[in-house]
Amino acid sequence: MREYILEVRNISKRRGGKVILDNVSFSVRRGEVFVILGPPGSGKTTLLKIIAGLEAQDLGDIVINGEVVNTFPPYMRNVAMVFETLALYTNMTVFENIASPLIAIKKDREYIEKRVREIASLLRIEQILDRRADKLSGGERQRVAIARALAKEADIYLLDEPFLNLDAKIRYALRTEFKKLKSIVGKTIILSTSDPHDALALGDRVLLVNNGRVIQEGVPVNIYKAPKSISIARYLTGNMVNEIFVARDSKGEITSNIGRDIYIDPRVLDTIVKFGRSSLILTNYIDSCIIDRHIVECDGVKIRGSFLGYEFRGSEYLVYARKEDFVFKSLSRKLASDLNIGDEVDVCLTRDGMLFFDGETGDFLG
Amino acid sequence: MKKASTYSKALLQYRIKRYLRFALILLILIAYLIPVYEMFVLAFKSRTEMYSNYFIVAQPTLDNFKEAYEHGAYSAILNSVIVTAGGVSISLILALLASYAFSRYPVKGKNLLMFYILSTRMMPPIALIIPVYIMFFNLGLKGTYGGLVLAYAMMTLPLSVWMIKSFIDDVPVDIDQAALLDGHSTTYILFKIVFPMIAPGIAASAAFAAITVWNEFLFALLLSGIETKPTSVLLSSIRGERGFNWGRVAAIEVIYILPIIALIFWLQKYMLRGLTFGTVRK
Amino acid sequence: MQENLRVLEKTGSLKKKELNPWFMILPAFLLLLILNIFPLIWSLGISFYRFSIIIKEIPRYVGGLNYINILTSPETWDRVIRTGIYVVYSISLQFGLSLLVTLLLFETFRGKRIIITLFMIPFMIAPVASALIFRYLLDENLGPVNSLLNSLIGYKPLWFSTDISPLGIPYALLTVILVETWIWTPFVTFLLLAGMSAIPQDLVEQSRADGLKFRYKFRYVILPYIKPMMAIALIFRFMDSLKTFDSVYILTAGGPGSTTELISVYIYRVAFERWDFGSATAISYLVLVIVIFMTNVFMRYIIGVSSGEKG
Repeated sequence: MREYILEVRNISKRRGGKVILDNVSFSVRRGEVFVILGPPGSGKTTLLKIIAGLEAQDLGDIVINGEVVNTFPPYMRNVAMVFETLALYTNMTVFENIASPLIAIKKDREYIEKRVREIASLLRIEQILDRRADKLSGGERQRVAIARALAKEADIYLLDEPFLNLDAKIRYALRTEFKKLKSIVGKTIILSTSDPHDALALGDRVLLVNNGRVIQEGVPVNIYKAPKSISIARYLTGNMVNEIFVARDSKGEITSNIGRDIYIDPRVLDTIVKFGRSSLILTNYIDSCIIDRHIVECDGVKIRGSFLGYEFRGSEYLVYARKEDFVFKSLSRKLASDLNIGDEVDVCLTRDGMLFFDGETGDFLG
Repeated sequence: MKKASTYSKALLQYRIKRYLRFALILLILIAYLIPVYEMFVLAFKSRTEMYSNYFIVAQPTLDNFKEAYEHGAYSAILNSVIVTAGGVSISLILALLASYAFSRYPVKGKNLLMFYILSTRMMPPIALIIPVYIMFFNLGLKGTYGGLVLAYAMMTLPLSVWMIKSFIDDVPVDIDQAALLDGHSTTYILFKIVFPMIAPGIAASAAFAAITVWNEFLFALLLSGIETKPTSVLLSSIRGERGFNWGRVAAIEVIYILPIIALIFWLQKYMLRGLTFGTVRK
Repeated sequence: MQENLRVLEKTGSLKKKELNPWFMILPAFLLLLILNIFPLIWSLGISFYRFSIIIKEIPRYVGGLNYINILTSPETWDRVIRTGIYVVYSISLQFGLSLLVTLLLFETFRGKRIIITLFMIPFMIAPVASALIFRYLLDENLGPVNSLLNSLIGYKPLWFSTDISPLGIPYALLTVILVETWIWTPFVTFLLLAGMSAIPQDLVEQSRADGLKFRYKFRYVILPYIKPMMAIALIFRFMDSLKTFDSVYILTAGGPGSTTELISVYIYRVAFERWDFGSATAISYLVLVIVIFMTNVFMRYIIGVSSGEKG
């Protein structure tokens, strides 16, 4: 058994003069959940359709199970797909929709009956089997689309933005069901999404794309801890990062955009010097930032600011502090109870949570 | 207290204006449709009443319908039906296939073809009928059902293609793709998935084509024979007679236009699309 | 993969599951080729001959003689001018009336839908049928219209005669114009109404709340939305009025004399009354060229104006 069930090699595609995909390459392991993450319009759907054979690439190869499938029509590629638009057959019943792939390969009625009901019960939609596909709720339609894909018995499942256009409640429910399904079905799943949270939460490995190019690839933890550029860090957290811009002038003096009222630990200064850039961005995620009345020991960067407010999130607090035009955010389990808006607080960006980026290019340094 | 009375006075003014406007609209509509009303009225009038009592029928009679039947109205209507059904059927089948290809595939020269199809509307039928007449004459097709049916299929093809294509365009390509991925053949996709989805649209397209053929005159006049002449030709041949019975004419007309009037109500939803050849949709 | 391979084995070959798009277009294209494109090209050829089936003369090649005869004969130009007059009058009337009716139907009210649907009857029924009933209505002696007019103004206009009407054109031509206007005004109205229904509701309500004078409402709220539809309607009606045949044939057969001989009627007469196919096809071609040219110019100008404004 090959390790990689799918290999995408140097796929490029143009449409009407516009570059949709540019030299995209990656490999997917058997049985893993591979997430393609990128903003809308980054070419995710086209990529999935090229893998499925529904669109043709201009350059490059798609290799499934070791075979180059470029010339194979879609139904011969051993992939099943759930479209972003779901693409249910609205003139047929739910049963007929799910049975469609089985009808296409001319299975007998008995088999189809059994299999459809099996899958329907797995996704808990047995009771709507007789309903017409255009008379379903959003969540039901999603499940029917998934059921139809499951009925195909392919080795690779492509899911195009499966969680888009769903309200928060169904989204959350589907995410949990997804985990359950994944363990039952045990197939390889390739999923595209524009929501970083979904990607990091569900993916075994994540591929970051933008403008048709691969930006970064890896295990979620690694991407989170070592994003290739600061824009990735911002994107992954929805701009929930704390940034400090520092510059080194010719004399070796270090200044920050915060001003003078900042304490930088010598070890951090050393690191700054070590990287040897003229400017850097020091970045901390919100879980490596502490805001409190008085912080005595801070091994990274300490700033004195004023308390701005907080968001109560049930199990934790998102705390805001302000220094002039800059806002810092911190995530913590408890809140100093006697803080009022405007009170002076200390903000500490810890050293081991600190990521260093080049000030000009935004590239990751360490 | 003063404020309340001015408010209610203004409201009353507004209401009156509204009702007046509505009354005006109704009046215009009724006046406009008098000719159609006259058709119906005339149909039930006897000869003696023909030129009196313009809006009512004092002595309604069904004689006109009987007379119409005796003068060949029945076969004329039947011919209209045959020719319409035949022409539209052929046109539909050809259009369904062509529309799907135009909608889904990047056919080379597609724009050129589509422009050509649209430009057939520009062409005066009289320009086309002369060579077609000669052709049909030489091929022995003049006066046959087949000839006229083919001519009408040709005539309604552009309209059908544009309209059906607009309906197929409304069906997302994803559906075709999902079916391809499931493993279905194009034929299956066409007949079991896409066409059923646009069934109302197909019906509407067929209806518009049917209306075109049903009402058509020039081609019918020149290409049909004594046995095969549709209603429009029958009606036109009446005009020459002296002192004839307008009631009979009206009776034929009533039967002739009734199906159309019924269709209008049914086609309300698709009217805009149909009238602009599928190019404009609300 | 296994399943698909098994299907392969069963059918014995890699069954081509996709249809070639050209095959799908072919039948339709063939029909149009044979009955539309070919005849048109052939008729161009005919126009260079002296051709008539009935006189049983062998077709004689005369080069451009037909064209020269046509372009130099006063008869042709007489018809062209008449057709021009007809087009100008009928389109003006149609659009003028349509605009009035459309404005009258500005906001929704109960029964609007039914009223509009009923209003469409005139152009949905056969022109032949409508023309016939107008023949009855406008009968010069006993027809309802003249009886009414007689009692009102003591005069019975001869609707099918060559008498000059108050508008400066013969009554017969006026009748044709009026009948065609009656038939097609609802069509134009429908298109304009469709344009008007595109006005966003909040804009309508805003204008009502602001209590704007009608002049302003028209210019800034209604007009921008009606303009594109007016362009479309204008293009359609222009193309169609040159084709006018059915109603003329029924009402006057082109007469009295040639008073109502519009261009399509003229071609018909040359072809099927004089049996001069050569000349008839030549005139047809000239008309065809003019129509295509003018329609293109029209389209570009109108679409240019309406989209330029909207930008």
